[in-house]
Amino acid sequence: MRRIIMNNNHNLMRNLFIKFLGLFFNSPSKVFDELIEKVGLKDFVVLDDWFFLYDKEKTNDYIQNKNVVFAGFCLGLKYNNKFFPSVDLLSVLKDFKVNKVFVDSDSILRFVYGKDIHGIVDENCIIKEVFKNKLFLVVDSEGKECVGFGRLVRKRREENNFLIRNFFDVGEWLRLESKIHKNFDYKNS
Amino acid sequence: MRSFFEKRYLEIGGKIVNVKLKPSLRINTLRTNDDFVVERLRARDVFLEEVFIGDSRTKQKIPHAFYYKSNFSLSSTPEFLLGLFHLQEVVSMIPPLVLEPKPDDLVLDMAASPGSKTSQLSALMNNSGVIVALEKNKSRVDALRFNLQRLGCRNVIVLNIDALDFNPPVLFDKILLDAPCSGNYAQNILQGKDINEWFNNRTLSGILRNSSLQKTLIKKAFSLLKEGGVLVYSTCSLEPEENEAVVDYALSIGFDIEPLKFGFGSPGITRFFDYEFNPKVKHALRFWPFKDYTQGFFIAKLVKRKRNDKEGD
Repeated sequence: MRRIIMNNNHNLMRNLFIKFLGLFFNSPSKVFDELIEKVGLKDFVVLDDWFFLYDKEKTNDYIQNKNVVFAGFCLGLKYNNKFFPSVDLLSVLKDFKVNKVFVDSDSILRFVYGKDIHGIVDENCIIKEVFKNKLFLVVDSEGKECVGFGRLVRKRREENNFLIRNFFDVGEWLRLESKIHKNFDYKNS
Repeated sequence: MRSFFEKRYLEIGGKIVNVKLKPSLRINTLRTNDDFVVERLRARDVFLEEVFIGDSRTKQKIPHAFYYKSNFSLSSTPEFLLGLFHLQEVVSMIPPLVLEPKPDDLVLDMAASPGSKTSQLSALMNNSGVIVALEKNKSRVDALRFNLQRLGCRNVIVLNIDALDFNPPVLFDKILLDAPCSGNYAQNILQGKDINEWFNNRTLSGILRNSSLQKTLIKKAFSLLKEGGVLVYSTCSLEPEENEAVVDYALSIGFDIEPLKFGFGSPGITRFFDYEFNPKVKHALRFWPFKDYTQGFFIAKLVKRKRNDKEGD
């Protein structure tokens, strides 16, 4: 199977990624351009359902190789019709103007184990909302790390009492890796 | 089989000791700094200790390396999942340090998975230059991809290809060949397994088969390296056929060897039963579990001679 997608499928994959950005931003295409500028790698490629930005000038000889499986800045992976954003992508996105919820380290721990975070009191959690009806990135209280994203459900707005419904956390990569490892067909590898 | 290996190791000044090895981690400087991770992990009651190697006279710190003690698995902490650190044995951090890649180098990693050394190279190059990482085994490619994305390596290209079939358009400045090998008994200690199991699963014919493959890979590395370029050869084997004999072969095809000054490890051996190796092989380093409290390891820094250079120039 040829894994480099440069034809119509390429545009489909690109659109899929822009759709992912649309979960957070009102103008996802513009954000994609800004992301490219921020990372400094402008060429987009999909290899085995893994999405990358890479440096055409420096690495084009290898991108053309039919055995290439990873190239440059990893944006994420499409698996079972779900997009898994890379840890690197989340760390870049958190610096954009985007909805964010800052949570304490105990809540972070629960969140990366795949849990919704319930009933956080407002001293431990600051909400920064930029876009209505968009998902929130979940960021540690120091604003240094993004551990995933979710939907913010306020129970009573005035009391700032809410829960964050877990849509994706970085622990999913670990869970996915063990699933892929378990399902790998070693006989046909 | 244990007695077979005991006899061999005795011949070269070694012995089999069931030592206790300390688990270690490397802070990923592509994402963070030492202080931040140390503070975070200590808050989770993880005990951390900086890694120094060598005796009191030659003591040297391994940058960003820490021994740790923890009551729970560190691979499920947010800090690990975010790629702030990588679990990596101390001795396996040495080959990238010896290779010393510069930010603009074109580097080849001939057997990359699971990506501990590849990601360390990427960190040493601060995500500049290009690392081409090869992995022959498809089942190991995923582990490599998962680690590289987690650790934020942006200057790596991975090819799922046997290094022997790799024909790139240009030659490389530096090559890391952490060769497939027989491993060593101390790996069983790290995995909490019986060491005798390791000896029972190894044979001399298997060791010789590995040795032959390693020599073929060395020859391939020679053809892919620029003149004056550096090749770091390493294995986690204690067997002379997979170590000194391979370096002896490398010296015969146009490599020179540079002495390694780490103040720890033992010089490469130059005699083994009926074999006599090039005396320069002593510039390689071998690490014994009983002496260095690491798993068994071997490393040599080889330089491709320029066409007009004679051996030893």
